[in-house]
Amino acid sequence: MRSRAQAARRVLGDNNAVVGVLAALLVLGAALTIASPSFMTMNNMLNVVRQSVWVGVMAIGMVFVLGTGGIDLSVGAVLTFSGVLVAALIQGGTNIYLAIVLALVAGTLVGVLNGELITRLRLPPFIATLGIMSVLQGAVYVYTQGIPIYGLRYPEFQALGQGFIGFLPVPVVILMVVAIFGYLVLNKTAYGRYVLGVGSSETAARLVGIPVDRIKVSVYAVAGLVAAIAGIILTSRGEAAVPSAGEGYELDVIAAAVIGGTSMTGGKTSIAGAVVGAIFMTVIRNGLNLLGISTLWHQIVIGLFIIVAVAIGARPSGGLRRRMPVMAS
Amino acid sequence: MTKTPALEASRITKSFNGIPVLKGVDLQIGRGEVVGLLGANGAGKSTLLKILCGAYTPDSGDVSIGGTPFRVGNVDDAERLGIRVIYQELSLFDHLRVYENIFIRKEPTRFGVGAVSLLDRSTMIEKTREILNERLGVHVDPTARVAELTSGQRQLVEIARAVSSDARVVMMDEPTTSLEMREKEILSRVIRELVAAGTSVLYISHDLDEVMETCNRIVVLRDGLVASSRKALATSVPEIIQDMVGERIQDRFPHVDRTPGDVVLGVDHLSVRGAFADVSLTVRTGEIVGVAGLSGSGKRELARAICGQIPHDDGRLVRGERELPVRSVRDAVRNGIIFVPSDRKAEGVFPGKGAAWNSTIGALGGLTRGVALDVGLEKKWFAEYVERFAIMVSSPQQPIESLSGGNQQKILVSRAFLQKPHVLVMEEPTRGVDVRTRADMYRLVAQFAAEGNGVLVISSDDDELVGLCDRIAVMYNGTVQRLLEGAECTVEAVKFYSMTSA
Repeated sequence: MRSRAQAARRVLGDNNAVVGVLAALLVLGAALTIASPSFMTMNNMLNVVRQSVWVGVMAIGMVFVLGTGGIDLSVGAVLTFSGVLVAALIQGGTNIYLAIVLALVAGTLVGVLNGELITRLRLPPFIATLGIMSVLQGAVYVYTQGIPIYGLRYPEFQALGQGFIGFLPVPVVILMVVAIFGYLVLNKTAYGRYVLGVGSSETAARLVGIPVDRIKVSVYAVAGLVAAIAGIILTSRGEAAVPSAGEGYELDVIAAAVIGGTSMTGGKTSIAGAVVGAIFMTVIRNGLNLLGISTLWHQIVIGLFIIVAVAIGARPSGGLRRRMPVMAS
Repeated sequence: MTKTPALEASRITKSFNGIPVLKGVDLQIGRGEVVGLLGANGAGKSTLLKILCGAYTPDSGDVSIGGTPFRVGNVDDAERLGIRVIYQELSLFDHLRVYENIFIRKEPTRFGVGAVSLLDRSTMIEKTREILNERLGVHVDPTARVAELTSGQRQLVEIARAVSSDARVVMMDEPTTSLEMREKEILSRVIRELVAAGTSVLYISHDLDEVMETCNRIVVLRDGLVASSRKALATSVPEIIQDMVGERIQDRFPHVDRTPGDVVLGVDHLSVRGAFADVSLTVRTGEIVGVAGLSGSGKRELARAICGQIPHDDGRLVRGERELPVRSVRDAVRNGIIFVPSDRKAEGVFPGKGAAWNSTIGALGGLTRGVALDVGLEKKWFAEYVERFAIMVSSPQQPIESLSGGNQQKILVSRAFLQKPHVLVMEEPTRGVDVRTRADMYRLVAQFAAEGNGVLVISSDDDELVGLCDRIAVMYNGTVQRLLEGAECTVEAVKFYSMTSA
């Protein structure tokens, strides 16, 4: 009994915020079930889970970046970019599997570029990734002229976004794999500790011999890679690459990670929390749709939810830190 | 006729967190007198200064200026009565211009009322030029931003700011640390002018040569009390040092049998431009070598160059015959040169992480089985060090910020040990650490050396160096003034060589 609770606590991270967002999610779910008959249906639930995948996968990558105390605003643009890239390659005759690999590599390289701008040129992460986001999104528009790339009706490719493994949609399986992988790497490996060390105290990390710059570049590469994964799956699902597909995603992704308990200053992360946070963000949007609330109101509602969720979730750990005085002299 | 002293402080006491720092200090400064205030680190000089200028409130005691008592703990009052302070940690605003800094809170204005008035910039610039260039002979553009100035120039601007208005007592805390020869002469001239105008000066410094030359009278603080007050012309450097040191220190350093062996770290003509030049010393197995020196002596940079944190411009590190290529921290670690920092909060501790996490972070290679970390082994390692170092911790996951300073230091040392050092480079190993932990630290350092390793201790605590080390390299002004061996290692010798050029 005790070990079960301990195991649960270990997975959720030493983190009241995860419990907080889980509670918020359940409350929201209950409210929506009452408010709309079509919410708690098999079909809708499946929809919600499937929709959470894009934000969820990217949120896991964002956790790595936030873990070092950085931030990546370019994930949405990378999603769009890799979707467009894979579509363009496939339509151009490239082998499907090769196209996927190339798109994944491209996304990773964008991440590496972000990392290099931050470590070599010493650009603040916010600025560097903001710039890359702009350039990348702009490049996509120029290349596509604003027109989506349609007609990706290839069974092997469609399987990614539309197929099933057992009763689970492939995207969900991919999310689970990424989540488990992310959790294991961040929490069970030396590399994961180095990531958290950099976020906790960069100076101390350097003095211990941790290769701070390399770690930083690697987390942005991870964020780029998972954004590319999301972009490819999304394109597969819609059988089209839409040039505006990823716009605005970065905010949902960051919100999901932060609501889930990952600190924006670095050193404290929760993969499980990020996944729950992603589902939470999706449920909000799903609920707004079901209730027929005009899309014009969505921004406001989401913003309010983020504030409330973080305020409730963040309070216990924030207070805890205040109660333990820093006794280092 | 007795002239009213410019400043008079009586029975000043002050404690911090129950630890008494000033235990009843009396101080008098006459009109136009230059009084030097000396004392070891922790003797209470800075605290006394802050009380005299109103920044701190004493627990008891009175201060009066020119016969007028001032409400202690009130900076405005002190300023109004003519106290000016030049702090050691320069308090200029980097982004503002020189003339803006000079006139901060005393800006001449045109039109308007109170704080909402137009600044009379031309007057400010003109006056600044007058003070700096003409009176002081300092060639600094009044419209330059402070961030663009050298540290010596900044120091002079700071001084100019203090003397630019009617001052009765100017207090200077280590005013020459950033100054070069020529700039020091400017300061001397400033002090002479102040004295001629009837202003008094309180001069806090570690540089004995300077103090003897500049001051009329020298007051030595020791352990929170005035140990002596002597006329500069009537005393000597050895006598002053004796006042600073006081009684013999008890034997609080454990004796462990150690025989020195091969050279485990040889520093060969090492230089870092701007910090230190041509430093050579050796550490053998079984030895504890100390590096002494005041701030600005270069000892900090030396330690960091040895440990790969800053690149060296000249010289090399060797072990026996073999050169050790140390160009980064990882190189140093790979060669068994492990650093233990002094500033735990800024450089050592990983906040938000547990005690065991902090302990093992440097040695995760040894904990990795395949791809994953062996958490069981980590627990074992941590438990070993908890026992070996007597670390007081409630669980391996206890957040490190909640440990006492002494226990945090032990965790940092365990981290260093886990990195398998051949040479341990420790900076201020007992800074902010309680008495019992200090004893523990000294014992484990001695044992570590006895096991066939080398230790390099960089410290400002002369007692510690003398009690702990076999040899002490004393630095002053970027060079090793003297390498004290065996019986030569006395506190007086350390103080002597760290404060003057031999």
